[in-house]
Amino acid sequence: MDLLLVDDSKTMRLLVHRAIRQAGYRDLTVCEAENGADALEKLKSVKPRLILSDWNMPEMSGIDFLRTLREQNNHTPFGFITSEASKKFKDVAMSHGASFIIVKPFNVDDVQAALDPILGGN
Amino acid sequence: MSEPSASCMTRLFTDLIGHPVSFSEQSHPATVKQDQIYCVYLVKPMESTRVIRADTMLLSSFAGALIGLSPEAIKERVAEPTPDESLRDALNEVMNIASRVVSLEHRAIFKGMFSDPSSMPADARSTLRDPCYSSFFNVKIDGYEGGAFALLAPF
Repeated sequence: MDLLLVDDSKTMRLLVHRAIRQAGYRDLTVCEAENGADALEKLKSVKPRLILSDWNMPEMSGIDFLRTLREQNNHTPFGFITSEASKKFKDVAMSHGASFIIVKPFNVDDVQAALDPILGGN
Repeated sequence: MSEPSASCMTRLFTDLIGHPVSFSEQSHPATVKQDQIYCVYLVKPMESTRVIRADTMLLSSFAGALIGLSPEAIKERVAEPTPDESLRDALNEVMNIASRVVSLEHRAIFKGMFSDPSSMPADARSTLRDPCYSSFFNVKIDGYEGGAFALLAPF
């Protein structure tokens, strides 16, 4: 398992998937979850190299998911894909241990620039 | 409020759907010729409500283009008696991302979408009925149906 993709929007999961493939990561194995709670459940059986998560989601938000993950001593690299573009949100994300934020709308270059340092290029 | 410019809207939607989009500012609202969709946003920290009112076909074009549908497929799905789930999900995502231009200085949160304005929350109905600020655009999308787009705010 390479990547856990967490977003309540099926459309956004499709678009992120497409962008990841276009960024050259065609063989990446991806597991999907609909929110933070669903992702925590999935993490009991998968060990991804990277977690990509939306911020605003029902049941458990992305930042609550990240906070819970770190409390559980899980230090899997974590990035946000979100429409929250303000400095305040970036600061909160980074202070909780996020590696990067990709702001929607994103393009293939944004995805590649975020993934390459963690997944080692393609 | 700080007005979102036509160029700022053009850039956001072009980047989002991957097709050339052009917003041009209008001095008056367009004559309503078709069904419209009303999108409600809560702006923090003022807790004020802003509304985007746009032609259904225009927003459906954004959503359909985002998920790779042809213009013909979008028209067919919009004409179906029951709402198409994938188009609706994509439309939700488009309008969620549009929150970035609903307020340029503050945080706007997308609260929901309505086809019947009378079913919107009271604050949104009030903004729609008596906006202090209105911005009207005519929108063209390369290869897809465009239409009218308005941003309404209470102050």
